[in-house]
Amino acid sequence: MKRRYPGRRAERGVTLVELLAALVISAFIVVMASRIYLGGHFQFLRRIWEAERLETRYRLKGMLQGALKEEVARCTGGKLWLRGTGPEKEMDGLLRVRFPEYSVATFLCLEPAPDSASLVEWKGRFQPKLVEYQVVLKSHGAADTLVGSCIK
Amino acid sequence: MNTGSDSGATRASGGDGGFTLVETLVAMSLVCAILLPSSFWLYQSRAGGAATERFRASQLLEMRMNRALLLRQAKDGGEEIPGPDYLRLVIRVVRDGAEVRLMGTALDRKGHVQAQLQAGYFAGKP
Repeated sequence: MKRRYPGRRAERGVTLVELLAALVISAFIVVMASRIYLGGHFQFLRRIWEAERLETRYRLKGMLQGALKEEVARCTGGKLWLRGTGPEKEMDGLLRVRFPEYSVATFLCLEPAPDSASLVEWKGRFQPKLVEYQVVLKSHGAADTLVGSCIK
Repeated sequence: MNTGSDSGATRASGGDGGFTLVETLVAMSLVCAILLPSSFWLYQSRAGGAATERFRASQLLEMRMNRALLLRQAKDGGEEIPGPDYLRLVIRVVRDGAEVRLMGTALDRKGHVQAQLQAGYFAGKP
């Protein structure tokens, strides 16, 4: 004897294809959302890192501009010594103390040539008119170079 | 829901030619796979390092300006100095009576202004 289940044929469940499609769409949305979130987070971290780099450069520039207002004692071989109230201080040491990222610095002291047509290396008389610097900072495996100059 | 088999049958019989679910999913995947990295790349290339590049441009321009100022290159007209491969540094000298003003501009390779600086001195003073 055949048993009849009333309403069995009228009821329509989800087919396998529909179920798979729903799963695929859900997975797709989850993957895309997580990717957008991770991408945004990565960009945010990158912006912070770049802001920190820039902030370090500004601090370094300010420190150099301030320090170079002091009297320059010597400037040879890319090194610079300042003459303050105490003994001569090498710029390299000052930078190393204040900036842990500091790697190397090169200074060039210049003064106008007698004919004023060009700039020549400072001979040690009076004070240099222009001090050009190139400072390399290293942080997180990346090297940043700050180049600039300061008129004395 | 329009499944692949339904639509295929519909299209084979010459009915309305809509996209199947599979086609829609594949298209969405392709578009997102291309558009999403592209949008990130575009954002990064537009915003990434812009402030750093402006700072570098300003520093290089300042160096040139300081040199020019010291040498008192008070020539009428403009002087174009080649900078790094992405920069053009232009320093114009403007005389206004006894005052000499140097106006420096750093331009990128597209001609957009990256930084501008101005310095002045009086020609009568050392």
